[in-house]
Amino acid sequence: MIPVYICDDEQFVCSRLNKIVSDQIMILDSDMGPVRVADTPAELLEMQRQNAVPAVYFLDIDFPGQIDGLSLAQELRRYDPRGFIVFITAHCDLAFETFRLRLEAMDYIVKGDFDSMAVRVRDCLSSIQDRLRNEPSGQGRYCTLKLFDTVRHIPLEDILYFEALGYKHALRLHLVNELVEFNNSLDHFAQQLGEGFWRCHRGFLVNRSHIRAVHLKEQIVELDTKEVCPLSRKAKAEYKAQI
Amino acid sequence: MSLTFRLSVIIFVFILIGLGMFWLSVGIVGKKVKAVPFLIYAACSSAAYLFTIYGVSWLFPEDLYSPVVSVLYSLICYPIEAAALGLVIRKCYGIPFCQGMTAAMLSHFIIYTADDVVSQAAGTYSPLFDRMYIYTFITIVLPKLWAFLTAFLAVYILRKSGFYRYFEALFSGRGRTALIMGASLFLMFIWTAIDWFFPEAEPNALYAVFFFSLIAVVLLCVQFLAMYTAGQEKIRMQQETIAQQQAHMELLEELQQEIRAFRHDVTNLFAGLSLQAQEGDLDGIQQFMKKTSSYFDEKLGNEIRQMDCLNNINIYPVRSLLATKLSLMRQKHIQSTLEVLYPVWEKQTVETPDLLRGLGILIDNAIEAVPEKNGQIRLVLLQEDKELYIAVVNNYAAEPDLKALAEKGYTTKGTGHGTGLSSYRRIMDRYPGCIARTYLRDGFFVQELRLPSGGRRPMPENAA
Repeated sequence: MIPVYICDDEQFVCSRLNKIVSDQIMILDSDMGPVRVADTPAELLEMQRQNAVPAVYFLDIDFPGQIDGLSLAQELRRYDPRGFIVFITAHCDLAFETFRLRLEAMDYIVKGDFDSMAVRVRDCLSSIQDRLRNEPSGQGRYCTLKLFDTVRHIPLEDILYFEALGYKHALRLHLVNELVEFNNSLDHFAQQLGEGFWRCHRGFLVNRSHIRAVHLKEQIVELDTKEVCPLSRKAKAEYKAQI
Repeated sequence: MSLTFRLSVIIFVFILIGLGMFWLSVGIVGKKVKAVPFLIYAACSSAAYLFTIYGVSWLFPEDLYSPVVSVLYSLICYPIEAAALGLVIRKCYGIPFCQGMTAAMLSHFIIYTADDVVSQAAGTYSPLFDRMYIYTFITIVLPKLWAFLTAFLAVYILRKSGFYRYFEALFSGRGRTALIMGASLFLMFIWTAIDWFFPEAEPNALYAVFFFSLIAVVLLCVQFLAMYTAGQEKIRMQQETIAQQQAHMELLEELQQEIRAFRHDVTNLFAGLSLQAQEGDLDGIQQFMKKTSSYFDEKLGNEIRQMDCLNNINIYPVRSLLATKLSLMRQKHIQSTLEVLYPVWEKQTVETPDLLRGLGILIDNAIEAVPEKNGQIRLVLLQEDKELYIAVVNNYAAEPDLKALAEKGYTTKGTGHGTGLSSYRRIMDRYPGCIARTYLRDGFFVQELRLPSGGRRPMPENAA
């Protein structure tokens, strides 16, 4: 079961959303619930820690005199990096792009009449359900990436290879449809990731499960995305010895 | 003389000259002297010297003091030493190799000139002592001390005049870099050349004056050249800033005109409304309210929101850059959104010119990539406690090829456009700890930069 939380300082909005969300969960017949309502951010954080993750959160943007929605969501993300966050707002000019990019928030719902809110909630919940269904059941392993004070968990199957960039410990991580550049050492990841990855060159650490072919003569490793990594003489010798 | 005395003199001279070279080079590029880089450099250069001495004495065992040997020795040792220093400066201070090596060659010239002139003069003019210790002291130790003092003085002057800012400008083009490196290489070998061609030159007062003025003239020339190029750069920058401020003014004017039109509309609308109110047409009024509630938002909302966001950016050059780019997007009918949720601090770890360059290229790339019709660009700046988060999001006509993007100089639009990821290479190279992320999601191309924000959050002005 995936818990659902609603947090808004207006009682009226809370009860209304509670009704809408509960109804939609019934209609969708999904394994979400129970729906819990928190009046303050502190209460929500308390609740989150006592229950399972990932969870679904419907959050207000401003809580006068308390932390704002962004900080609250960041706090929530720390414990639940894979949760689903939907913002509730009184006005439509909210900086949603920021929330989407920074917090991977799903959507936002404008406080308004009952019917239009219900439609939005239903859309959100059904897309959450789709995502949960498509997601691997959490059995897969993750690579943890510490970037400033946030930690990112990347499923190993998404990683193609790591590439060292020149000096100063700069690394470029090649994912499916994504590039990340940051400071760390290849040795660190070679150690963390273990056998599933192969140091085919001093500056390259390749995910074995993405290798399509090793061309010994050209001294390259071809990946299933048609990308190539160089193959060092040392790695070549090791590879030959293994066969 | 005892071996200990000889050894200690040699070590003393090595340390003094090495420290002088290092101090001066680091002073030229405008960085602080640190112990670890110096030790690395000292180890490298002494290894190079020892190997060369060993090699030369092995090659020419009989005539160790012939001119050929000394020339050979300089030809091998000096460039190695300069290159080693250049590498150390690149590695430890993140200054490009060319600049580091040029600084090393220039300092080599200054130090050896100071040393050579004084030691020759001392050798010629000092009275002959029967005690070798004093003679050594006067002809070897004193000149080295003097060279070190000269380096110290030069560094002081260079630091006072902020030379390093101009020095960088000397390397802005390939031709310029080659020229300045060639000139410093020549200066580095000038003493070798003089010894080779005029072995009998007698040092005298004129000679000394000539060489000290040579140092001064060279320093002055380099400084002038650097200041000139930097001045040109500054003029260009100022012109850019003026253009950006004009764009900002245009935005303000546009907004003002829209407000004028809006005022006109509102007056008319309210005239109608008051008529309806007089007639007691409650339904009509309600309908009117429904229709007009979003009117203001549609009409002015976007501009006002953008202005609010721009005002949140406390780095003025960045603010005007964004204003320019936003007005460019409006001209090209690209739907643009800017979100700056919290005030962006004026003080950032990344220096403003680098920030401008990186951000400018990211936005230009986005403008180039959007489709002809219905282009969308979203810009996000988010100041957090430890970092400044920047994101540029755009939709695209042709899906960008991420793996090609990782290679240098990738662009979808032929040469001369865009520089792919190398656009923020400069920032990434210069400031360790930055994080860059590029990805595709839901039909949008997202470029993210996370830059560390140094220092603490500035206190709000009206803190209660």
